Amino acid sequence: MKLRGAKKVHYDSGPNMTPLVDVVMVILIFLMLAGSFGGASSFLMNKQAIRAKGLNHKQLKPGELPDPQIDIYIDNLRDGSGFIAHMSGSEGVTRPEELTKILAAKRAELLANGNAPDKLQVILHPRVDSKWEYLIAVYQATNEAKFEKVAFATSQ
Amino acid sequence: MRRHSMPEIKESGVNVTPLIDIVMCLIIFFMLVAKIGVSRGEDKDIQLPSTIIGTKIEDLGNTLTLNIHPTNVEEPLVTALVDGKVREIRLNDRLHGTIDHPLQRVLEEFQKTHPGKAKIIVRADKEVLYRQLEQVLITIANAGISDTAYETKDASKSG
Repeated sequence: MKLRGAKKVHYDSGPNMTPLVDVVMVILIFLMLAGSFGGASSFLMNKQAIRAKGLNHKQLKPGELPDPQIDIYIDNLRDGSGFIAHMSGSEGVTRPEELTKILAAKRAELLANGNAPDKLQVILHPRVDSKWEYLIAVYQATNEAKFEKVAFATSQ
Repeated sequence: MRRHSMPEIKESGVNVTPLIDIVMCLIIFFMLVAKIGVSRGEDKDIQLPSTIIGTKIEDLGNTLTLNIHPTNVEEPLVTALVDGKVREIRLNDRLHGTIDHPLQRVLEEFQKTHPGKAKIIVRADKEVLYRQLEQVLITIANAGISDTAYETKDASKSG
């Protein structure tokens, strides 16, 4: 006996989801990898990391004035929970945002006096037992205040 | 009259969609692996300080990463990728009665192989004290390298 119904073609219903799933998976894997391996590191650049006698010093020509300089003395807070930064003409600052504001004002003042922005320099004088965590916070504040030349002074 | 029915048209050729999908997956995988596989010898145990500003370094080819760990002695523990291996590099070493400066030698060699382009990435732990870090910065300056970058954790991304 011949079964006629068995020869009927069976059509799939609805759209083919396979390419969609493939593409979504590729995007998912890409974003997962990019997210976990892209890293959350950032870099604070410096062209003159340290300032000491005999290191990176420019010899002044006769009549040439030294570049305007701001000295910041960094100390640990007594309880070790942060830093205190001292500058000439201002009280000790413990918050980086406050330091940024003071530095930005000093920079504006120096620029108003006719100094070129690339000549302004900041020298950081940390205590020898200052933690890097606090020093980088001060360094960041100088960067935020748009100072281009920032260096650490040697303790000796 | 006999009616001729239309011949059945069948799809010819191979469906290449899955092939393209898999090839694309492999390409993306190898691209990522190749990028991740280039290690610059960074020590993942180092706890970086957080900052909210900072830039990315696109070309790491001319960089040497110095991992700086805090210690209980005057000299910090410095490690770097030298000759394909991460190894400890001492700042000062006593060799046959004379004082040797291994880190300075490594940095001078790096400066020679990357003339005018050498950049040192300072990857210091947030607990490192300035008395220890200062020695590394002086050594970098003594080696004639002025281009440095301080590596930090991007607080805006890591939360």
